[in-house]
Amino acid sequence: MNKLDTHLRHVLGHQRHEYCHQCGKCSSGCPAASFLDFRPRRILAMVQLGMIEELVKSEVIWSCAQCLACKERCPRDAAPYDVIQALQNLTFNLNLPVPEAYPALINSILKTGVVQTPTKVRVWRQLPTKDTVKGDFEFRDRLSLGLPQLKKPAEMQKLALALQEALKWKEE
Amino acid sequence: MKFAFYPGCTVESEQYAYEISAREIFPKLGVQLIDVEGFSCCGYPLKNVSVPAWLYLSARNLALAEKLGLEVLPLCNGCNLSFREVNHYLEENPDLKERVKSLLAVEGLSYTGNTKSWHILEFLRDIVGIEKIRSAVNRPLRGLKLATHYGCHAIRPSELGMVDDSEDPHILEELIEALGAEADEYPERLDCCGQGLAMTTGKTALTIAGLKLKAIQDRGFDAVVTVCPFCMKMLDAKQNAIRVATQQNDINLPVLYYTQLLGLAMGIEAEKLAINLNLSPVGEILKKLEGK
Repeated sequence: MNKLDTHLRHVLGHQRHEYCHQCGKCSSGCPAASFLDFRPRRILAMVQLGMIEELVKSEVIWSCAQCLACKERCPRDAAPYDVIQALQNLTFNLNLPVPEAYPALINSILKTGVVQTPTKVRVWRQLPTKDTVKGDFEFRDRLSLGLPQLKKPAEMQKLALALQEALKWKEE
Repeated sequence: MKFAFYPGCTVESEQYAYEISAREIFPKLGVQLIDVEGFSCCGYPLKNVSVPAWLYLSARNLALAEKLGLEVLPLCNGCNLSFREVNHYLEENPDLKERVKSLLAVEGLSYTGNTKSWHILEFLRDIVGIEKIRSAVNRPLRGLKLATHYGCHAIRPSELGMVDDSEDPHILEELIEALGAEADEYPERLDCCGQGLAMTTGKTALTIAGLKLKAIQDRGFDAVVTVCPFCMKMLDAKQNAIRVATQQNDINLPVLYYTQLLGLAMGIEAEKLAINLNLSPVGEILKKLEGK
């Protein structure tokens, strides 16, 4: 797994997971750690011990809320968030399972350029208050709400081609 | 003053209230919003699985704005962070920058990395100006006690030069007070909304959002004010799911975008600000403003 370590270093740039001295500031301020079996400090320790294969095959790396508090507060510039994201990228590059939402997002962007095309939304006929049990509403779309039609990429196939190329980039 | 308007996928596909209220207030504050043909996803949702895909997509949008000679005004915390971070990342990685430029050449686009992306709070403070906002107020929001919710990606990471101090920001409080309302600080104000976990562990996301809403409600605030469409989705649109998931049936709190609040203070009708699109009990705010 030396190759994986090289990849991690490449993705991390100036930030260095080996600088982590296990102070625990990351786990203590982590919103996910209060509810899930997810500890940024433990992930950093595992990376330092070379347990990268275990991590990329584990669901634990997908429990990050991406709030960036650990990156902000790390006194050693070890940026747990960046390490976790590098592990996630590595999982994808190795064709290991990633949460199903990601392939769906990629397909949507390849097809339409966006993660979601315009939907119809709920519009109240009368503004809800705290006592409203079941409000009266209708569903409306962008145009009926007076919003302009979106001017999405004219040459989608070119965008898709370039994006597919980017998705294939792996750190050699 | 012209800016490339970048609502972002979430706003332009479902969080219409943000787009409608922004299009309503900015021209009245002397800002012309330019709709740019060909804008796509900012790429941030793909950053977890493919940094190169993220870099390409963000740089692509920045290149489209650059072609028009415009700086970018995104509405979403995530899109703004994405643009800023990509400019920074590619500046530090010249080899990657060349590779991204070669991908952009497929569409005949060029990217220098000099296009600034403005966070909406920073934009309101530095481009519009707090004085101008104060003087645009026709109906001061006196008597309203509002809780701020910045959203993590508005203030972190500070290495990118974000809108305010990452551990002790005040800009949103100042912008609310400029409208005549109160915006007292509270201990949970920088807590995450949980949205980042919605894709993988939905119940935890709802629990985190519920804790924040409950804390705000128990502290006696009338409403929460935010500037991020993802936080809005969690705090405004998911209250019913939060009540079910956390079995806290008393969670019931109005949530508004700052653009809607500003519009109300300017005297614009609620419907023009799409307040009837918010899913939380926003009627309470209107009742309070009308003195009922």
